[in-house]
Amino acid sequence: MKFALQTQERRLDLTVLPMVNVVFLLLVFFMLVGRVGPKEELDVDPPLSQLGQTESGHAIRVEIDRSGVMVLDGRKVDTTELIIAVSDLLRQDPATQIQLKADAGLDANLLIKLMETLRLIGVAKLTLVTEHAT
Amino acid sequence: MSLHSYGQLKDREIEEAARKRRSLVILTPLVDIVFILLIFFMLASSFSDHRVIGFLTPAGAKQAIGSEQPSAVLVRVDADGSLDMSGQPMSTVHIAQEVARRSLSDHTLGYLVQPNRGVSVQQVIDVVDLLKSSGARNVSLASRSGS
Repeated sequence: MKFALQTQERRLDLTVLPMVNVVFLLLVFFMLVGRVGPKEELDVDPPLSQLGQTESGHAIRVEIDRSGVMVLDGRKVDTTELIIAVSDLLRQDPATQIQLKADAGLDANLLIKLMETLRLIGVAKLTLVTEHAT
Repeated sequence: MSLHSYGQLKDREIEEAARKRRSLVILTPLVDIVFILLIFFMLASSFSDHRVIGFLTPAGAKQAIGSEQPSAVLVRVDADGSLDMSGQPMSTVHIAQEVARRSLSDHTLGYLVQPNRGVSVQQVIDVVDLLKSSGARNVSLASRSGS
């Protein structure tokens, strides 16, 4: 009776351990390969490009979706609010970098107008997020 | 087998069984936590390979190029994908050759990409890619004039 119980326990141990091993491997894989970042408000697919460089330094990210809706710091803004917010940031730190994450399907003229506006208020470094094409 | 040694054997057996049960008890919460961590990392991590393209702004360009204004070539992009360079319609292959030829003699030459109405960001980035991979160093964007 006792012997039967013991082998049952051992069998349970033996079936659980390989699963735990696999789960550990998956955990380590996801921790190393994935990047945990802040949640994104909008559904934005950045344009594909072969020439992008890896991100360097801290930048304020502005998301722009297909229809031109802009999100700064998790909150929807219009052009005027964006200009006010960016000017405030520039007053605190004139070297503030702005990173635009625009959808590939957005009207290019809308994006360029926005980039020109940001330049006019004194943004020194402006980058555009792309998805690396293989 | 004497009664005494039988009792010892039984004790050891019980001890072993208890140890085994204890090790199983320790393993379960660990597995739970590992599962929770696994699910967290699976849901929270992103695998997209994001890069950035930098565009010089007047404030930054002044430091990089100096006070002199470099000459620039206008490349216009149409919604149907056709391109023209300095007003002449050209194919992508032709533009790549032309840019490569010009950048040999003058590598400070700037290129201004101007999209027409209805051109998407992807089409503009494709043209920027084409110019840069053909040897252009200084590519900037311009909005459509008169709109």
